[in-house]
Amino acid sequence: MTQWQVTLEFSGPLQRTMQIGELTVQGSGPCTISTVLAALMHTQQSAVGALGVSPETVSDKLPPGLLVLRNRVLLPLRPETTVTPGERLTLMPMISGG
Amino acid sequence: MTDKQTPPLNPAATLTTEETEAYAWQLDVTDFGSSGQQRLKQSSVLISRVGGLGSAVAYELAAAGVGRLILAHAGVVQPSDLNRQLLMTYDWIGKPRIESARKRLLELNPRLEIIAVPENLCEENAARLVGMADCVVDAAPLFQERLAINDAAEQKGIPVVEAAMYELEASLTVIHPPQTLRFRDLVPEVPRSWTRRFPVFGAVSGTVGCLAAMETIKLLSGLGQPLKNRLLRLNLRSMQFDTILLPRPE
Repeated sequence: MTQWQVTLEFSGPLQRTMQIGELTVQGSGPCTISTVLAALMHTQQSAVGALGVSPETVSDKLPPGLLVLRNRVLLPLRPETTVTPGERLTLMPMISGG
Repeated sequence: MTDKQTPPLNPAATLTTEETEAYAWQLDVTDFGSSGQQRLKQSSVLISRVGGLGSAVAYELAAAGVGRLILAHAGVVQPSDLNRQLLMTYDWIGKPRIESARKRLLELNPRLEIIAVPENLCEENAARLVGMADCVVDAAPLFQERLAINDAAEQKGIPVVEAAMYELEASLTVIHPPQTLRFRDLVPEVPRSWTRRFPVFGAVSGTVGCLAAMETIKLLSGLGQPLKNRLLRLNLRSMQFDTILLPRPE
């Protein structure tokens, strides 16, 4: 199984809830948005509440309103979207304060 | 309407001498001029909630001379509104927010037509209220409202200026399918993690409110390049402003 690691940067409510600005997560096997998010939730329990999904369900449905960015470009918001091991992503929840 | 397909000028929107004088400084803006001002005068804008963000939007659009503002906001002024809701005043605590907003805007610009609706946008009233406007500014604090507004606007082909804030962050984009993604492509359903109350300073709502007002003026007058297929994210803690590229619809 291929080992991978991805560095995640957090913004908005996600950063506030988790109380960290970034974190590197590790996993093995396919490296996709859903496996990266599952690794995040396993590494940091507070991510479960902040994302509003569980590690078990994230492979079926991504957290609604969560933008995943690579170099300020939005990735396709699908669980199976491939992530390149070693890269840096930004997790940016859509916000609704008015 | 679309930003580069502005409707024909209505002769009834011809500027009076007094209006020409009142808007003289912006009439000098390149690519705007009297035709841009007439387009603002003949336009209707729906602002969903005139709280922190919507207050700033409404004030700037009133100052700029948008002819008709449709303001939708339920409830009465609370003491905790006053750190950011600049159309509300201390002497109006306990009275309807929408009346305070109307009063303040007409003090600024008595030429305006204001339709004050003491309701928040929802699935039941969205089609009716959105249908009265050429453009919508979404400044609602709940995703339920944003989804209802965008669904109605998409059906009617009306652009939505999507503005939002949280703590010292804010975001801004223009949603106008099929030229852009739908709002539901970004937020397919209400995120469970979002809460009604959020931390914020009035200076944050003022900042993003002014930017949202500028986007609205651009859409109505055909000026510049609106934030379509781009999302501006502001972090006022670090003063970092990023423009995120959103995919164009397939």
